[in-house]
Amino acid sequence: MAAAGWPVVLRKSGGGACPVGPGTVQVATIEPAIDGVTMNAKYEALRNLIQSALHFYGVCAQTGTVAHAYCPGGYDLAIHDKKIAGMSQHWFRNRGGIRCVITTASINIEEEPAVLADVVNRFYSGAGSLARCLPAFLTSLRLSGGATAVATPDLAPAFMKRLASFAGWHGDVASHFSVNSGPPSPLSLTRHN
Amino acid sequence: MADVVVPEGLWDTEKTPEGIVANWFARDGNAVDAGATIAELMVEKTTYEITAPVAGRLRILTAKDGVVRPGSVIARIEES
Repeated sequence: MAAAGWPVVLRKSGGGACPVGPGTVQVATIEPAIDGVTMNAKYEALRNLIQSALHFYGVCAQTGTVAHAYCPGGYDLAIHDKKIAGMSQHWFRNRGGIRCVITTASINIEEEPAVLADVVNRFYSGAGSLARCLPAFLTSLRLSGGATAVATPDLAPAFMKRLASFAGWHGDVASHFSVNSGPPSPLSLTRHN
Repeated sequence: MADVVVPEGLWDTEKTPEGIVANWFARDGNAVDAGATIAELMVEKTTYEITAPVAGRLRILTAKDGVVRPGSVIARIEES
């Protein structure tokens, strides 16, 4: 995979293979896990934020598993049954003994669905898995967005700034998001022993 | 003897009825320290690290890939 420009990295949060490239935006929040907080509440908070930012670009994304997409999960965001974003979490104790939760999302802003599906399927094949991702169940903001998206040339950084503004995050946007500026493009996986 | 418990109410079981023990990081019978990460759950694309509530000898009740729900007792620790 690395030789093809898609090195594989293992992530701590859950889920399957998730392709990451210059046209995707990754966002992660990290918070103390206060008593009574649930996995669902954390997913819903980030989901709501992403939905608001997508809505700015003319997209109404619905929550639900897109079974034939990469890394399917109950908090996938889809437009007409085509996945545009997905989320995962990791709960752990930090060095100070405080339980924390990281909630992450990967949003496809302008990667071609066929390219992403091909990368994931090559990984599946190489790993001996029968799982397959179908490009017909993927989309991007560039493909599905309204006039505002179409009129924005650098859509990924613009989307990051919009997301940050909705979240009330200040300062250097890049400090809140991972910025993919070109190859190599990692294929993010979750470790399973 | 202390129970190693999946926290009550950790997830909405109406949406996701159950999870699994994805990994054990200590073997049955091993001595574990209080606060050590001894297992990992997987629920709805969430990895959840389970830590030992006390020090002692681990007795695993739910094997790797076994099903868990909020409140499940997945192991006990014989306090030393």
